[in-house]
Amino acid sequence: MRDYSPTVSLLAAMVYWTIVTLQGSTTIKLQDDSPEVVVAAPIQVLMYFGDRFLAGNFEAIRASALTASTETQLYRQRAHLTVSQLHPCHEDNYWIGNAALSWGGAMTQGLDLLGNATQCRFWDEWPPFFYGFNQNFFLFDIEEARRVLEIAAIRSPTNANFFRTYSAMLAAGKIDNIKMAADMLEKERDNAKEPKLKEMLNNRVIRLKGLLLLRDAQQAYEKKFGRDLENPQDLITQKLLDKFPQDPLRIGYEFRENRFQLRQIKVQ
Amino acid sequence: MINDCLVSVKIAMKARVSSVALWLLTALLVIVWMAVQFSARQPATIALDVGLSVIRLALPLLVILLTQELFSREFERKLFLTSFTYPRSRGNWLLGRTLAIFLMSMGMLLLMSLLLAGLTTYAGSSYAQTTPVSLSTPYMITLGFIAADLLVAISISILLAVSATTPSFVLIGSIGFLIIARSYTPIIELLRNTPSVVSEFADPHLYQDSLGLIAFVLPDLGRLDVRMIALYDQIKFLPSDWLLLLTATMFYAAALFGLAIWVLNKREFS
Repeated sequence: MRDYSPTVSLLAAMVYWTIVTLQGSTTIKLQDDSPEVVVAAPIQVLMYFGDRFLAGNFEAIRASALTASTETQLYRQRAHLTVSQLHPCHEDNYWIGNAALSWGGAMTQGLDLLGNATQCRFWDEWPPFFYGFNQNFFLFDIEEARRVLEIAAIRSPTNANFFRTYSAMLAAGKIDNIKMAADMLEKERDNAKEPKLKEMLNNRVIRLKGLLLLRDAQQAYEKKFGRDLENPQDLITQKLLDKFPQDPLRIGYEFRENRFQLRQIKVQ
Repeated sequence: MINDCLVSVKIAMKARVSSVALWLLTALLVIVWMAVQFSARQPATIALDVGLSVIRLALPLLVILLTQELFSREFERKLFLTSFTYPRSRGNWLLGRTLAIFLMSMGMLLLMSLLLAGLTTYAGSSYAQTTPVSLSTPYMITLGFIAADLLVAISISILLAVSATTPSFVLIGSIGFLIIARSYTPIIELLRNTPSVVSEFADPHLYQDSLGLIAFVLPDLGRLDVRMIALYDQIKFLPSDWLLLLTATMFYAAALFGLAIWVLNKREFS
């Protein structure tokens, strides 16, 4: 008797493919920015055969693969922090994580990330520099900033002068932090090759420039009227600003303790 | 014993272990290349990091395959009826075959490490890194620790092979053992750093002591992963008690191996 099994198998497969074609596309719509699950670090260690480095590498690739919108911002926080626990020395994670979190409304998480990197990368001067910079920028803690900047200076003989000068200028209150931060982010953006990373960084540059605009307007107001600005709306009524700048991350700015600041994302 | 070893190598070659080895080398090449493409990390660092992960995953698999070929199949096909009739102890037979597995897996470690060194050098050639990797002494030390880890993998799979009746148990048992032995130290460390993983109300120290007891049963393979010394060229990352760690691992492997000989001597074949 002839063996019909290959023919039967092929026919069955044809029927299957016909049904699949008739069904059309699946009903589940994939969202570009749908929030993603981040598995807790200890469980990831088990999932990756006890290899925390491999787990960290994959999670870091996942964290930086998503686009720059606000919806993914909470996901990013969790992903970067998990990598920071799995592999605190991961250089790309603290670098991109600092740009994404600290300048994207999550400065506390950004500081955690940089703190872990400072501890692990005991030879590297950049994590403590960013840590000190952010301490001063977001928390106005000049003392802590100077303490950490000194750590950065000790680590790097070539950059020690720059760090100490910057630290001294902080103490004297003679530093335009926003301009400096915007310049750093712009430089990072111009060096980025990947379009999505470029977009993510660009949004943060625009956000910072908006803050710069607000602070300049405030300065102009105080110079013109000789008193502190109390209501931000006055900037519009006095025609110092046409309109308030738009934050591309849709997190926005706030007027707190008599100065404009970057608003932080509230995490439940 | 040497003769046994040579015979084992011949059996393995007949079972096309060389093609498995070729597949593993290809996997290393492809995975490292993809990691360099997809990660924004410094190319040489990511190549070395992922490559070491692949080596640490691939070699135990090779060991398990070899054990299944040289032990489980021997019992399954009742080939021991002839091999045990030669005038020598079962222990010697086991030693010969183990030596063969050891030599073949170490050869594979050498091949993979050479390929990885080449890949890392190539990946890093177009980009000057602020923190360069080290492919000299730190890399050798890392590989030495991987070899110690492999020794435990060899002895556990052989113990399971001589005591189990089905070959698949060797695969499942060895992999399970290795996952737990490699994971528990990082997990304890992570639980200590992130008490939020445990419930808000539980005392995070509660779990540590009971998890710490595990070291009496399982070797601490997680700490044998010392790759950070090579990734960042910082020898400080080497655990200060590295000698004790290595010695303990060797003795653990020896204990398992002795147990395997004892089980084989006691085993009654039907």
